[in-house]
Amino acid sequence: MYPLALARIIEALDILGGTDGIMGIESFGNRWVEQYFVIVMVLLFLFGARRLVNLDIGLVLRAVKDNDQAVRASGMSITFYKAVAVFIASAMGCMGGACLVHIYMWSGISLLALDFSILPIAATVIGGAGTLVGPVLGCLILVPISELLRAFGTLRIVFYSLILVAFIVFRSEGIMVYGRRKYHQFERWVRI
Amino acid sequence: MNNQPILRIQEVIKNFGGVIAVNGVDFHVNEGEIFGIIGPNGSGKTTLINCITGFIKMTSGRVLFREKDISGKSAHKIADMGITRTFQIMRPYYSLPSYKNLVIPLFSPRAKRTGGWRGGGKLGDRDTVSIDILEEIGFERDSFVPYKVASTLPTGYLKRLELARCLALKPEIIICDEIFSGLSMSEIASMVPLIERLQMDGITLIMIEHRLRELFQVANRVMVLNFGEKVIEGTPDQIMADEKVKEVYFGSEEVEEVMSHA
Repeated sequence: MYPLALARIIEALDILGGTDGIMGIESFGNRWVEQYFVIVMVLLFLFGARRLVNLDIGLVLRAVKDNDQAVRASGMSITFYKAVAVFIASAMGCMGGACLVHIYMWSGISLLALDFSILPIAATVIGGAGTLVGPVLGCLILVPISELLRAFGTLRIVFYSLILVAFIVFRSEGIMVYGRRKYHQFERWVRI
Repeated sequence: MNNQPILRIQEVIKNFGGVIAVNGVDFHVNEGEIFGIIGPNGSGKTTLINCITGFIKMTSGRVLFREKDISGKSAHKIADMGITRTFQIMRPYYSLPSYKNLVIPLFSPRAKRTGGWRGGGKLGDRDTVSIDILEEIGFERDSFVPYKVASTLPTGYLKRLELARCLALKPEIIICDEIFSGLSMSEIASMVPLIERLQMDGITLIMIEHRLRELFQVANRVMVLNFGEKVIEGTPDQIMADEKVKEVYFGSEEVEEVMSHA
């Protein structure tokens, strides 16, 4: 929703470089830095989020997801904590966007295309919503697939959507949740 | 128990579309007493509680808490003032262990303000505080029960967890929505002293109940609702002697059973 609106606003008001986009952004300089900075940031966010959800405020965030009425009955505003969650998530998203812009050395309307809206959702559905590793796992699966399908051009979105639909129909819980459940079953597996 | 009204409900009306769920109910609750609300199914008891605690907006009417108008405030603000409630259908955080369930209310502004579970007015480690509260409410400290995920707990413990969630806020009023229902006789027998102790601690209790015998055992005053209207209000003895109450409960043996025991 917002990417679509923002693209039209940029087009209409000719701000942020207009239809040409912002050019001449400096790159990381070294491709090793480029690679490893992103990887380190992903790991940092992953373990940071892992710590966060076990802090007291993280428990409140989990409780809002679990049962918002009980959080209201505990005397806390769910709107505030939802806003906190959105801020944390968008801070991570901003970090990702900043890295992307420096790698592309360019920023413009086409970065607001549907790919970048579909990919996070698809990765979350495939990896498993409500887990931390899930979306990372989903990305590790989806991005190579999308690179393989590069020859098809914009038809990639169709494949994304197909994968998304297949997962929603057959494994709506996602790989991580499914895997964790199966692991607990295999743990107590007795061969007769 | 002094006779200062802590909560005054004036002409509360709630209608869902054309259905009038609560029709001009008017009562007050004194500080430190146990006030029972009974009535047949669909008589608007839970709706009334939802109106008082701000979970639904009332159509008209006023709620005064210590002579301050709290009607129309949002649910978390009312809870922050010290009017807490349990839910009829238990609402624990199923994915969290039961002691972590209590960390959430302990994290609320009210608990931070009132605090003082461990002297000095400042909250200690929330985990240890929550285990203290759980022990107070009947979870065995040294057993594994407080550490189990809430989704694996039986109903009796979940009801206690609901009560513990209210207690963590250091409330002035606890509104119990059918805290006895769904419990076995022995579970109720261990719950009744708990309710009595809360009263002794100076907490005002409003109890919605279908288990009349246990309610009449603890309650100071009882109100009967029917079709969203107040039928009668009085001491348990007055309620049991009243003809209109028998009419309301016509066909149900429960009142007669209670009366024969009383």
